[in-house]
Amino acid sequence: MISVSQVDILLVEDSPGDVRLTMEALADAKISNNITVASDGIEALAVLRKEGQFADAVRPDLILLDLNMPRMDGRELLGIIKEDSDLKNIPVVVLTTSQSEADILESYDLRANCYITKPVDLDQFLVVVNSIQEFWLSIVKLPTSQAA
Amino acid sequence: MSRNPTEPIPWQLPGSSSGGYAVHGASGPNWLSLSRIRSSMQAKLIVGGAGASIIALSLIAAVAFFVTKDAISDTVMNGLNAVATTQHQQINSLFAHYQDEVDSISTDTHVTQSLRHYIATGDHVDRLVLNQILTDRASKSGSEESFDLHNTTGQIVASSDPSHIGESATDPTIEGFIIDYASNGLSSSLPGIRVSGPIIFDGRTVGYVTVHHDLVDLSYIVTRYIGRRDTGESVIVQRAEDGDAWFVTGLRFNNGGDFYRPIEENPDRVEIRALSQGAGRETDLTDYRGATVYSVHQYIEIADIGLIVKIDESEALSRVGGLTRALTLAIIGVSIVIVITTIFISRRLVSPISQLTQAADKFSRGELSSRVYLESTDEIGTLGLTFNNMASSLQSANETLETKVDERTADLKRSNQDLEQFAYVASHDLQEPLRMVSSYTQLLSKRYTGKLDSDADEFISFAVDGAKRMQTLINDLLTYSRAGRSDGILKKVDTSWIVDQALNHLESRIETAGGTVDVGELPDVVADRQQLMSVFQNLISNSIKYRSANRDVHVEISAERIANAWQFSVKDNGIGIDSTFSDRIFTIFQRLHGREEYQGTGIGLAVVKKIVERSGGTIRMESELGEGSVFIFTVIDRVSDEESSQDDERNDLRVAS
Repeated sequence: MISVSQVDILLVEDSPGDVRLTMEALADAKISNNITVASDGIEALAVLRKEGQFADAVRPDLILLDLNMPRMDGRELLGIIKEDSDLKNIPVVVLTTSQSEADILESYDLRANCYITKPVDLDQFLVVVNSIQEFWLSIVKLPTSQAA
Repeated sequence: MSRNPTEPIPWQLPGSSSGGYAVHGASGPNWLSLSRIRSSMQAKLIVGGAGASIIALSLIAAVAFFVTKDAISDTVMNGLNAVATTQHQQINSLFAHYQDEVDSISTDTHVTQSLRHYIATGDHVDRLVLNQILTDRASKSGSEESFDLHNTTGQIVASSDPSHIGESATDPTIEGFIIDYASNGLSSSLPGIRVSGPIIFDGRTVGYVTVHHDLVDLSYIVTRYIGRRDTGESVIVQRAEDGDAWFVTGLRFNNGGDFYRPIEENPDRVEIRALSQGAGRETDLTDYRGATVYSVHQYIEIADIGLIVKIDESEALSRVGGLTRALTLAIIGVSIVIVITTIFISRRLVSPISQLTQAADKFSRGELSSRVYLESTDEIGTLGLTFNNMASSLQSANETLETKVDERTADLKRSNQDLEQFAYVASHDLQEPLRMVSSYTQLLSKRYTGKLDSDADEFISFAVDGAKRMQTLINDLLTYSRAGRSDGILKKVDTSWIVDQALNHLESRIETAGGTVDVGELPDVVADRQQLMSVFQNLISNSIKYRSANRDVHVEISAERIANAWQFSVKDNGIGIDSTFSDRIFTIFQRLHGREEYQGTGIGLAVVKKIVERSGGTIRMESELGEGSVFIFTVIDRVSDEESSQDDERNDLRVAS
């Protein structure tokens, strides 16, 4: 049940405050992790496809995705990932402040693996982030990552 | 663009300002009776006009009738009178002739001498001479007459008829005219006239002469009916000794009966009247047949007889009857013409009025383009023009007003939307930075509480608390701005189920408070399920929150049908509220208690009010401080509407098939 190696998480988020807060939360977690941060969709895609400065990036075990971002937003990125045969198996957790029904619906239409609204309260936020990690990286059985 | 609010709208009546266009859509209570008014007006015209004309006509006809009747009566009477006068003269002539015969004998010296000589000597020759003279006279007169000579004792001494000789006359001393059965030479069953006179010699009565006549001459005068029409008749009556009277001449309608017919003493009988008065004209007496007659009667003194000339009233007035029929027909004819004319005229009169009425009716029901088109140029035509002018000004005023109302409504809608959008966007966009503040102050608190000095701890605590409260406020603001938006679809829902759901959500709080909730029978309504539940949840929650410390909370939920809506009540036995605050409790963020006493931002009732009012209902609260409160709100009953419209559809289908 307990994963031996550390896990890689790609955090796609443009707000530095949220990045920091998420990293603080992840840091509290039991599982050691390696977090890569992309500030928008284009950068995230570069990481995933190991392009340019991210040539030596590792394939993430989990993507935490914000929806509202400049340049390429989370919805577009989600669409691209889920259409990409190499990337579509990576679980994508939409982690956003939006409570909009439209956003929820669209995200699932684009085959997000789950949709979570960020709790406003810090303690709850910590619990949620911890749960995400716990669930997706320890509990859920995912296909072993295929070499490209 | 907008009118100066102090400038009055030209046509607006004082006091109707808040009601707006008061006439629009109003339907007065009198509309139903309009047709009745119209027809009664027509009826009045017909009854008044035609009735008055017919009454006037009838009066004229009545006057004409009586005048004509009088004229005809006069004519008839004059005719009768002329006949009576003529016959009277003829009778007088006849009687004068009879008298002459008597006189010629009584003054004949040959007769007087022979009579005197015979009476003195009894000489047979004298009698023969006298007989011869009398026979000559009788044969000369040519009629059924006989001449007798009497001595002073009444014994007949000579006669034209020898059989008379030796007889005694009944009363030879009576001079003048006697009509009786004894008069006709004693031998006939018919009455006759006897005329007698004394024979005087040397100033001494030596005998009497009597001339007997039959009644043929007299009858001949009165029984010629030529020109006397069907009932015209002259009769001669004579007094009888017992006070009665009897007929002297034959009667037109006697059918051969007896001449002698006693007439009882009845003053209304024309025969009696003829004998009791000298002369007269009467229209109301009866004759021997009992018929009412027009009569003229004259008394002939010399023979003590009455002459009556008469005609039946019915015949006399037969021309009046004809006139009456003609007049009646004329009145009926003219009345029909008058009625038809009146109807025609009243239609002409009423038609523009009813046109006006219809136009005004339409107008008042909101058809503001309604106008009248009257051809007449009279007062009614002018009224029509005035109506049209008035309608035009009202229409344009109304159009202006409607445009203005539309503009204002659009403005208001826009500004409402702006405000809502603002509230939503503000609260939504405020969330993000606030979350940062809140998260990091919490993080500060988490990591550094107790690591800095006590002031820092306090400051951080205040910041965390403030951020949390602001969070709540913004959430509430969001809730409020979303409340009442009919994002959800309106569906028929069972209110009982809605209330059950609300109670489920509040179960633990109710249990904690030791509360009980009574739910009455609740109807189906058409509503947004989520919002209606929110209303009940907020109200029940409110009741639990403001429960009295002295008793267990008890909530009663019930519904009642009023007009076109369901009225729901949520009643509690809580702390209640001073009624002066009953409006303020529905204002957003309005709190009546300290934060330490009761938690919350004061959003609940504001949300309830917004939801209720957005769906067309109303809400109010009644309360008594310390006793409890009842919240009463209405939900428009669209279920019945739906069902009735379904019924209509079914009906339509049925009709179509």
